[in-house]
Amino acid sequence: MTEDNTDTGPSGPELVRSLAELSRVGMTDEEVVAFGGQLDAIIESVSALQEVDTEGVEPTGHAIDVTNVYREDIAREPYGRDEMLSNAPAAQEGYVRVRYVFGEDETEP
Amino acid sequence: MTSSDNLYHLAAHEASRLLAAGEISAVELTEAVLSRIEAVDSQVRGLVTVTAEQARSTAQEADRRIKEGNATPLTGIPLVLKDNMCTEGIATTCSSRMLESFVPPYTATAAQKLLDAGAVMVGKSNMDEFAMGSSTENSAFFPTHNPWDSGRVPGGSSGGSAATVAAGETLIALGSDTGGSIRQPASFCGVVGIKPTYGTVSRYGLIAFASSLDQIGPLTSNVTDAALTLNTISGYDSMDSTSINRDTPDYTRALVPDVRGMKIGVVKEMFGEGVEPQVRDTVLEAARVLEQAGAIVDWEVSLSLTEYALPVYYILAPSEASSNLARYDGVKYGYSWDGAADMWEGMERTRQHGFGPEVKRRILLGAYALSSGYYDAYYRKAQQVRTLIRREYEDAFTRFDVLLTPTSPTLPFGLGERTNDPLAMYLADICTIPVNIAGVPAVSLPCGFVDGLPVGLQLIGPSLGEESIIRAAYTYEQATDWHTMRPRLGYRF
Repeated sequence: MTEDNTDTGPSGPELVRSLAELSRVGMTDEEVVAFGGQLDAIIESVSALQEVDTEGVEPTGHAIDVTNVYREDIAREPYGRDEMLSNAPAAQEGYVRVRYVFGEDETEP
Repeated sequence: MTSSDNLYHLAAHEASRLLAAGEISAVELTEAVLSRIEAVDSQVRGLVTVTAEQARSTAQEADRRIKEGNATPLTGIPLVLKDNMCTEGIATTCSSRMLESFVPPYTATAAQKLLDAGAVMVGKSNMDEFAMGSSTENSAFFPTHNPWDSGRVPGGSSGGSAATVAAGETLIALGSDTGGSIRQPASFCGVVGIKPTYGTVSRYGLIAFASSLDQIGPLTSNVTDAALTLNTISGYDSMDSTSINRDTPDYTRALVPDVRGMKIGVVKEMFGEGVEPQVRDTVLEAARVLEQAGAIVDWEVSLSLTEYALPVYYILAPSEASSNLARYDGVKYGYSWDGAADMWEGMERTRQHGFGPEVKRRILLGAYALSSGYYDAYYRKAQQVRTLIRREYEDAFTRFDVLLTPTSPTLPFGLGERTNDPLAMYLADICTIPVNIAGVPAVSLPCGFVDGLPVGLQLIGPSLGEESIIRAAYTYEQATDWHTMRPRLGYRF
């Protein structure tokens, strides 16, 4: 494997736990272990890119030369509120209902 | 394995001719396809939703329209949409628990254009969850089976669309292609699939996976039908910020059986290690057919960066996915885990139970590549190598009209064979991924059979060079009869 400055961080299950937390994906212990090995293998395989000389090469975001497209500022009929809320898991009085942000009995996060 | 007289195995352009001549009706054609679905989909499992009732009423409208004389070439033609394209009032699941109950309030532009043309939607097709996969085994509902051998995968992620076309459960279908998801299943199922130039077909209403790579395209039983479908779905859409604003060419004008003087390059890196010898030989034989038809073939073209396309893809696509899929939090729509004490637990449990393993893997991988400290080494680096790959293709197309490769390095593999090894699954796309990275168009079409399993030929064109690949594909198709082969299905009943 090529030397690079990226192989000093966490790996395996430890890495999976921190990424799962960042991504807000709950995980069982079995998943953490399974994903740990798989992620290490995938990261090792994509690290092959470090071999390519990219000095002074501009990055490509997408393949066509279209950037910052604006439309005319013309008002359009929006979707109805009921229509939008029809897919919401929980709605009340015309609003999407969310869970407690800080927990029912807590005052601090 | 012979062509059938059954209506459900008609080419769409042939059905269109019969409809216009009054020899068949759209209702008859739709009923034939719905009966076929009834007869074989329990074997194929290509469809997540069958829209029989709506199809019957659309077919009646189509017959009226044909009688009134304002039909299009696709009026009355049965259509299947991949289930990541929004359809107003009809569930759009992305084959995910997360969207199992999602009923969109609007229809995707590409789908709407086909419906406006009078196509008859008969169902929505199974796919790898959120289009992540190469076998359709990542569907949260059930795997789809290859119509040529029910023990094998149909490819993916548009496996349901490819399989239903092959099985006669529809005449045309739409798929989406981020790294090969139209072409590889087309290859595995023995049908034609086109991934257009990025920006040709609107992505509005296509549930996002990797937005800088996703592109919708047709899956059909022959090249003519693919050109007809592409004609209908292409074009500028102000609702897609990367839609190309230009006049859409008439792709059917490229249906010319003549490649004399056309310069075709055989990409040697895509015939090397990992490519099954029988696949290699079959595809090289297809190149010889084009050479005999008058094409000038260079058998040793090198695209030296080919091996880096896969790592570029597996950094960029998961990065974009981890960002795109952040919206699934169980609040506004989709699955929501019951019983959480607070917002964070609700979100974590919703995403834990709503997403399958491959989706989670890619979210984690994307979060890794985008996190501070790794961003330059992975995400930015991958975008730079993408520039180099684009340049390499641009350079090749100063010398060649079309590049030729296998679509898939292997024959369709067995169900369950690669599900425990994500890296092995990723290798299924080594010949198709570079095309998405470069943003150029490509077609896969059947070019032979090995042990009764279809092999696909991939023809790659320059940016906006759809006409070149359609012309080469059509010439090949006219010189061979692989596109007339049909799988033996339904005989077990």
